[in-house]
Amino acid sequence: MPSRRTAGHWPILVPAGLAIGILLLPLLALLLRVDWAGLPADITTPLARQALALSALTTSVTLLVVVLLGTPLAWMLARGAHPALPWLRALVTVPLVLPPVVGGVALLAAWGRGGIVGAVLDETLGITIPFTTVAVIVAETFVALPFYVISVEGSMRGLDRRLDGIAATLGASPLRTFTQVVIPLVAPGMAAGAALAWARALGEFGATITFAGNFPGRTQTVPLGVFTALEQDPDAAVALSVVMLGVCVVVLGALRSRWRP
Amino acid sequence: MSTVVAVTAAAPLGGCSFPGPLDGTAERVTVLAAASLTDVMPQLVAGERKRHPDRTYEVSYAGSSQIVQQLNSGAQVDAVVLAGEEPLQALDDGLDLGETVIVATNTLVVALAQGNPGEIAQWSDLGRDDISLVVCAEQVPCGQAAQRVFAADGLRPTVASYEPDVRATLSKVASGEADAGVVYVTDVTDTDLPTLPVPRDVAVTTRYPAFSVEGSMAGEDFVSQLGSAESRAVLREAGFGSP
Repeated sequence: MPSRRTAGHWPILVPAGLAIGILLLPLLALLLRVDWAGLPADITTPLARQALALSALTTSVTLLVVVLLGTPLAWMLARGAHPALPWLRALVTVPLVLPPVVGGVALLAAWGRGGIVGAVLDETLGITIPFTTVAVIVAETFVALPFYVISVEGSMRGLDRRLDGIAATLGASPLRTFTQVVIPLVAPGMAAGAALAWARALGEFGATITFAGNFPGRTQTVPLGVFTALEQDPDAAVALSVVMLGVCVVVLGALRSRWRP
Repeated sequence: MSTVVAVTAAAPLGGCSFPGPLDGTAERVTVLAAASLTDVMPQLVAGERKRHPDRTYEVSYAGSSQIVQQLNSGAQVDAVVLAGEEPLQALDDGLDLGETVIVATNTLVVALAQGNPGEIAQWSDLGRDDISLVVCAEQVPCGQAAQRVFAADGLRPTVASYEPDVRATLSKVASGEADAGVVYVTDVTDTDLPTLPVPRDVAVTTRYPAFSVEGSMAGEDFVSQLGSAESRAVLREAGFGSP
């Protein structure tokens, strides 16, 4: 019998309950579908091992690139005063909402053999990016960088500007201010942004399969491996899916108190 | 309590059946076809539509192994046409399927990128390191046939990517991203891409099985019509072989 206090909460609880159900039911179903006894064997098949190793490599490199390039960009967007910056921020966010396959087509248009830059690379240096592990990193960076930039810019905006002035009066150069004052203060935001960007890179599929292709050990990351295994070896697909789920839960669980940078 | 509310709210939705006769006159017929049938299926469907004006046909294309996966997951379809017989083995035993009829055959060819940038002049060139060759993934009939051809020839090509279906393979070649791709002869008939034939002694023929699903009358009509002389003529003109 609902008490008077909870009776008025049904308009909130019912839709919220449905939302929770929609989100958690598939995850629960996945866990129920796993053949737990066969899991160790399923995730040590060549397909699974190669996919996991490749994803570990590419997402690590992507994370490095994203942090090194994204932090200065976030700072520029947070502190800059140029009137074009709001437009730049909007453009930087585009890969975030672009359907990943569309991202892949765009990457081909830029870096493919017939692409604006790709054609030049191919003719002058004989370098082709599609079908290589570098292409995977390019695709992952394209989708993950906006996540990081938006997240870190948010925490940089929250910084007290007077701290910059104080550091300057104490004789610090802008670079030193950035590295020794700003970075330590936004470090939690950077960590949260980096985790989100890494998770996005790990899950990237559409742009990867369109731009980098699908080759075990070279471009077949875990999502592509699951896609392939679904038709070759469904048990391995479910096992890999559960591993991905576990990794994501661990990362997001570690972040739970730092959701808002 | 909230679960009870949610379930009772959702119950009426479960009573709807999709697809079904919408106004009693147009019957929706769903067909899943292998990717290599993309160009020829509209013609076959048009012929069928003339015979049954009260039916509307919807065709969806995918790699044969993906079609099997969709069937196993409960896709509501009337008829299926696959590009090979191996995927049939992955079908769930519990599915109610009609008799399998072989409606066409196909052979492989190597499609080359426009202008032949890889300078591929003969079959053995496919073994070179400096070209990018794309083939279908192993679970699709096109990929299995390609592997059989390579094995029979003893060729070990450097594959750049395993694509999900034959049309994805073709598009990589057509866009110039790959130098060559192993596709069906029927896939290149409408393009002007240069091609390299597969040597006769290692050529492999794939057979296209078709069947109806869940006793669908419209599906059975469609499948039996695929075996007719008229359909065979359409298929032959598109480059398919007769079973």
